Amino acid sequence: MKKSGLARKARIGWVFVSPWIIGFLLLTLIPLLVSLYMAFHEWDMFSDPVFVGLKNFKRLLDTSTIEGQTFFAALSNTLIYTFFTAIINIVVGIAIAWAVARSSVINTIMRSVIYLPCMLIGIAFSMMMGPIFGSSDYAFVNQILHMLGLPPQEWLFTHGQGVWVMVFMSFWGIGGAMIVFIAGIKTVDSAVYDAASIDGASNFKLLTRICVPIISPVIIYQTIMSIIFGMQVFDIAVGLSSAGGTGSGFGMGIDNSLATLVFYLYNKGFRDFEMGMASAIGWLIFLLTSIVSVGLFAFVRKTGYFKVD
Amino acid sequence: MKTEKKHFFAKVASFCLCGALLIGSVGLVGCGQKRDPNKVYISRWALEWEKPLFEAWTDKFEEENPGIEVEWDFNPYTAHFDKLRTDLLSGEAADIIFVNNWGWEPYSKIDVFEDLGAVESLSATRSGILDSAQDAFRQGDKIVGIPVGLVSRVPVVGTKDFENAGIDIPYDRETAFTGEELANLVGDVADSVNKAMGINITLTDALLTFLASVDAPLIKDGKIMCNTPAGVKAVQEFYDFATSGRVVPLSQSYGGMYGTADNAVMSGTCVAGYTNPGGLKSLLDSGWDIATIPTVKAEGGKDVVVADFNALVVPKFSKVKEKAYKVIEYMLSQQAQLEYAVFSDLPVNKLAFNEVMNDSENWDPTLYSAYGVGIDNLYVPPALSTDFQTFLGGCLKNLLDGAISAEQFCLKMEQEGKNYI
Repeated sequence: MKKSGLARKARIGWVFVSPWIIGFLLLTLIPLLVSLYMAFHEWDMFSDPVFVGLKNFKRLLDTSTIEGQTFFAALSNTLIYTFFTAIINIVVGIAIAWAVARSSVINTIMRSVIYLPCMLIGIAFSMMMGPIFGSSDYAFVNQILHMLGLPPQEWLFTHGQGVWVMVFMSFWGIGGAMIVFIAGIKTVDSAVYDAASIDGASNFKLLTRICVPIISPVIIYQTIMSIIFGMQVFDIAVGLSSAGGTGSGFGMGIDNSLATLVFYLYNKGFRDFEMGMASAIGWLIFLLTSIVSVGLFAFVRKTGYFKVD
Repeated sequence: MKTEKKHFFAKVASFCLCGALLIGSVGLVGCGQKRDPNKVYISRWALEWEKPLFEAWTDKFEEENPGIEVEWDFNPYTAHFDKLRTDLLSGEAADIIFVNNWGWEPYSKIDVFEDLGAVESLSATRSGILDSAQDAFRQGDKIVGIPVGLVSRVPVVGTKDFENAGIDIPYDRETAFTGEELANLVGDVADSVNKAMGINITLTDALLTFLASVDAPLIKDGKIMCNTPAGVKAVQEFYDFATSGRVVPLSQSYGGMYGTADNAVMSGTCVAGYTNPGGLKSLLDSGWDIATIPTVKAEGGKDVVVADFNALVVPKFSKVKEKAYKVIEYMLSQQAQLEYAVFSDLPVNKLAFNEVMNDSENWDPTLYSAYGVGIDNLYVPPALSTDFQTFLGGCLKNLLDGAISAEQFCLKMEQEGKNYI
């Protein structure tokens, strides 16, 4: 009787999760497998796919081809963006979370104020950056440079500068990291802080020697998420290229100044109709993200500084 | 007993909810607008004020052809081309689709449109349009698109600036300007009326014009053709023009204090912009007093128009092709083209185009004469992939920054640019 009861409960459970499973199969797993298949084909969506083996991957990884040059330009921008936004998210996020974690009216207001910019859609936010980081002498930042006696810069149009505009924009999303770290900080027993304070620990030491090690799993989680989202940066790159006016005429900024991996994937798939190449880019992004994430876990385990259970 | 009944009903309700969710989400997939098989659908991008004008344009056709009903499907510009892709894939696309040089590029390599060059009933129509326009949308041996409107660009100036400067507007000049002439003209006006810049011009267009004027086009018949002595000289002249201090720099020509090329006149900082007939009408509708002047060319070169067209294509899977061909025939007739030119592009029908250029009573020569300069030498640039656009943008920036010379630019184009065509 008990067994049949359990089996029946299990069946009911399966029925309730079936919508999610069907959705996962139809909208995630099957497209994933199709994309893997397409990565080894040339396909323009209108004619039959043609098997080309590793040609797509070779073209992307060969710097003598335009695809390779663009891919590596996009890769360097993406890695720079990912690395520095992860650092900003972790370091600045923890610092702000530490500052506003304690319960008080002012801290409650500050948390809301800091979080508000996160609610801006990336595309809208990046289009606002046009008048600020535009190439005109009268763009806001260039006006400040002019006041300081420095020459104006073509922020969005110079390879190596556009990516720093994107990195700078990541400060606006710091509220999300703050929320996660506040949740982590609040799990720490206050008795630990009290004991350390009695022993003469400063605020900085409380943060670095007590809080950070204890919330290390949260830090690892936030780092992984920052890496994953950083590798997929797309909307702000598109918005900046539109704000700079290069989107329709010159691709991803001038000389790939605003190129990112996903932006290149989008161009290849939905503007040039090279779905095979786009799929190959997608799988390379997946591999890179996996390598970085696995590397991070290995580093954590090896150093033992951040204990992961 | 009561508890058991409650549990039973709760279970039933849960199952029904789950089932409804599943059926609803699956059932809604594939729902779309059903097309009437007897209508000819035309899809185009349009602003709100343009929609009734397009509809009225085909009303006369419907009166003359009672068996054929036409329905327009309008979308914003970007959405039109995004939707085109999915509509073509799903077989739901309109029977006649408007495309242009830029939006047509991804489709220029795939076999999805009808070969209109092989349609007997359209051969007379095709031969009635501007000569260089007839092959503008060629795909190998096939003509898959027929131009319906000329949307090339010319410099546009505010008449008040020239009046205040005491300089006559050379709208009726019969030849294009050299780079130096144009820079000096707009520069003199800018100095007189205290404006920051002379002209905001689409620099890629200007480069194409300089090169085409000396028979060294950037790309023709799938080849880079600019690396010749004449081509190098033309690029040098382009460089001198673009860096004269009178032309809005590349990095600022798409927005900011000088506006875009289309609305530079409205920015208050530029004497001249660079726009097509549609942009002209927008400026007129905004109440600006404007005129157009001929475009630019290399010294000693011929007058050339870098041609941008809006064109009509018919998907292979259209079920009303014969009716669609009749609509196309009508759209390209002399009278329909003249009506079209009133609210949209310049006509591509030869007779209609000549009428616009020569009938100064009905077509203001200060607005339209300039579009006729070089019309016998249309250079139709091929559709460019995003990779080539990126490559060209980078080379152009390096050229204008002085990092590479005109000679190096042409060499780079020839040696590396061919990989992206």
